[in-house]
Amino acid sequence: MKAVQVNVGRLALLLAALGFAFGARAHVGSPDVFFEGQAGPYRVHVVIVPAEVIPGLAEISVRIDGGGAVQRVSALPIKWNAGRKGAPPPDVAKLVPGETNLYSAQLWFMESGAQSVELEISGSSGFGTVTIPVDAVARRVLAMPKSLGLGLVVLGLTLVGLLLAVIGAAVRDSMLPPGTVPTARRRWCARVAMVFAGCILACLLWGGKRWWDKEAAEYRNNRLYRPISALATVGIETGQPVLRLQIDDPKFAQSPPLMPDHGKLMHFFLVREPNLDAFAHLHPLKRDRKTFEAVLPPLPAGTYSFYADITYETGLSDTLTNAVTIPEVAAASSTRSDPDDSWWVALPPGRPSSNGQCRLSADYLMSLSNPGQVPVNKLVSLRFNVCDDDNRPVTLQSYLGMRGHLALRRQDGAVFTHLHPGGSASMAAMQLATFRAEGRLPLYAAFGADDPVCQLPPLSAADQAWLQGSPAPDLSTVSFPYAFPKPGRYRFWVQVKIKGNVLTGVFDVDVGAPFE
Amino acid sequence: VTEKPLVAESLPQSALIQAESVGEPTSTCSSTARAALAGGTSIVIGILWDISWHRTIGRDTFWTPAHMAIYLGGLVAGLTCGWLVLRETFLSTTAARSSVWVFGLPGPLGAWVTIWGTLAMLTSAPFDNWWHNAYGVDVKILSPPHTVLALGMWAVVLGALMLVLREQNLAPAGQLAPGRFLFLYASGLLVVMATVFLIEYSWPNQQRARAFYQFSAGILPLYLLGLGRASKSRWGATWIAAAYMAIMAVSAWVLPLFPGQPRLGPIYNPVRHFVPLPFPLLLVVPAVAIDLLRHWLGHNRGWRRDWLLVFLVGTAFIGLFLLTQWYFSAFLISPLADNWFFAADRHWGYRETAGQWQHQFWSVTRPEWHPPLTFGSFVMAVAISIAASRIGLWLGNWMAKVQR
Repeated sequence: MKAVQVNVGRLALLLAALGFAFGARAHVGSPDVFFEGQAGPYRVHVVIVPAEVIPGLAEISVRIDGGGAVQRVSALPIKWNAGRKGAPPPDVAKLVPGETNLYSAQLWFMESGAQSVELEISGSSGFGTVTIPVDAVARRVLAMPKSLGLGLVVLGLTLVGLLLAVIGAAVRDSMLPPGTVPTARRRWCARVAMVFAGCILACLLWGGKRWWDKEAAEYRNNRLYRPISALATVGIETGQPVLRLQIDDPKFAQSPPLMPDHGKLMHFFLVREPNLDAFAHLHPLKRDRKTFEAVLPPLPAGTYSFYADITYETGLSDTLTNAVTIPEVAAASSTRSDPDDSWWVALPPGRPSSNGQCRLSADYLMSLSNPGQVPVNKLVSLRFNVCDDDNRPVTLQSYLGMRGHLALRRQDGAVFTHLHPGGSASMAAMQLATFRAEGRLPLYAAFGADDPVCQLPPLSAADQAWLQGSPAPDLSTVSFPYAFPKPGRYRFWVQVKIKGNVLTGVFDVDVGAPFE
Repeated sequence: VTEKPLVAESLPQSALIQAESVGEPTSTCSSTARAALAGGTSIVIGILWDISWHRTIGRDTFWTPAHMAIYLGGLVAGLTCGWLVLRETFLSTTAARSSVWVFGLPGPLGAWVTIWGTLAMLTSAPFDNWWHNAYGVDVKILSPPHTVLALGMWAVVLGALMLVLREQNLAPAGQLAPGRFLFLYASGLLVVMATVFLIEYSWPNQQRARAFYQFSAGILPLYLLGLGRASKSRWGATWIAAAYMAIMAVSAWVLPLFPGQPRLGPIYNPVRHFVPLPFPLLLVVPAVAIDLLRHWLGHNRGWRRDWLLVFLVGTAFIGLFLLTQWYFSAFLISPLADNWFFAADRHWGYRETAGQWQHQFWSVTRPEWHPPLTFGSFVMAVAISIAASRIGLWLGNWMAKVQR
């Protein structure tokens, strides 16, 4: 009874990608999943456009570089609590016409929650597999197009009119023997019956509308993704400014335990409004089930937007966002809650970069490789290079296990996300998805404990290599795969570690226009 | 007040009823009525197949065989009835005398009902497609667009039944009525559709819950008494119930013979065959009581007798239905029913994790979701059953007189 149709327009957009293009939403406004890494001997660039409603279709696109001739690419959707054992037969990805190494597939996600896509590639170099986490949550509120609404109203009125006419005919004519005509009394009875039926029909249509409204409300309230609400405040404790995040949302109280991602339970980003001229990447410590605290770095007073990224035990990621006012603080803290906390303040306020270059410190300069025009919905590699004043390459140390870290925000706040060299997925979610698919992790390991925090095994060598990103031997370069979901001015904060110090490079880029 | 002849008194009676095959002294129905009923049959087969498809394979497109059976059935019946209207409008000089008039066009009442049903089916398609895009592909039977589709399918089958009914009622006295068996069969199809629409409340594990008895009381006696009354059979309600049970039982026996594998995940129950709906309700038991009461009190022998009949039928139906299903459902959820005949071990779809819950009454384990039947709710079910019987008898009395 279901007429399921492929969204041809969306598919076309997908296929234009990786040649590369996509629609998007979430961390905030950027839901697509990007992955660059190895699947066995094959280097893959993957984009997953999650389904906008659940159950719904996700679109997967895989470009394969190197590794020899590819014979078969398949994609398997795995729900976190069902594992590979509960997965259907994989879908074979098809080679996109006109391409030599780009494959696409569509996968059904039938239930909300943490899912993953297991890609299998076989070819002349052997067999390779990789598991990529995907958040399956409904994000779309779809209004009915006017033309469709009008068409349905016309059809509905036709049905109502025809039904009343048939009821009238049934009362007026149906019992008459052949060859007779209805009396005036019978005609009146037919009219009364039509009026009576019309009243009943009106009641039924009203009931149907109520039912529709109830279904829509159930979707909005229970199935549509709603960010967890959280409140941040700043206070002074033992002479230090402390930021406290309070998560009183009942939805959070019922949520699964949190997983540390890169060793941190929460990655907390502060962006000063409206000029984005101050930025911090903090890692608040958990005080109790719903309270996190971090010592505030020396940031100028003002109103900030915050974005708190967390990963649940299921593998689902979430971003808590709100505004927080930071007051003038007499004495800025000289200590950090976490050694990996970092921040950046524009001094003096103004343009953070020019000619695609940004000074990290007195000694180092960061450059953004010029990819020409920055298109919308097209996968690009955002590549940054660091050198010293003598233009000699500078080796980037591992920061949070990675060669670098990028946070980006559209000027108006419609998009915020943070990226790793290997893509957009959380490392914890990657590990969880892989372990669960292989049956190496119990589903509910931490449930039932008072204030549980799950711990994952140490990263494998392959995972560490993926986190570092590009296998290029140039250790002064870091790159991030991304497709901008909408045009506009974006600001990047690129964080790298040099000689033990975390430094932040800042760039403005107009998407839909060439780099400056 | 008497109805006025449309044509001259001198026209011979045989000419008045010569239109198509209506009223011909034959014991078979017209080919158009049979074609419409074949379309209705295709729809019912498609419904049972489609539900099984969704619970076995999961993944579907517009072009699945089950969808094709449904839409083909709607088209066959709709086009047949459209042809009937066109023929009576343009090709038949005497057709108007055995037709009802809708928007100035003559046609058998059943044809118009089927045409309405086909149009409703077509209307549901874009509505359902938008619904899937807006709220996700639904994994349940009851949704507003599915209800429009279900009403359309129901009307197609009802229209086919009315075509058969018309020919049955026009048979000269003393002759075997054409379509008298087809009418019972078509009625069985309608009961199948009604029970399928109730399936979310009538799983064997729900048959000690309030909703099951109240919803069943609101629908089933209406069908059994009304259609039994309109039939030409002394045991009309019983035969209709038997037809329903036969269709459902055959689907429960045949579907598992075909291999099938889930194509969507997560798979909580790795089925390897097509999954049928549960074994049918034992409707023949209350149906026999309905027929016995009909024999005893008769029809159209005064409003007092009619009201007595509906009170007795309503009470007897729900009483016997309760008695039968209360214990039969206990058998169906027990391991004793895990065999090919009762199919209790093979009616669980791929999304249903095997567990003890499959052998429990959900009104006991989850009373907050499945409120159990209480004395008060049973009294309400009796009242509903009587009201449904009353409506059923009114409709049945009318259907017994339909001649167009």
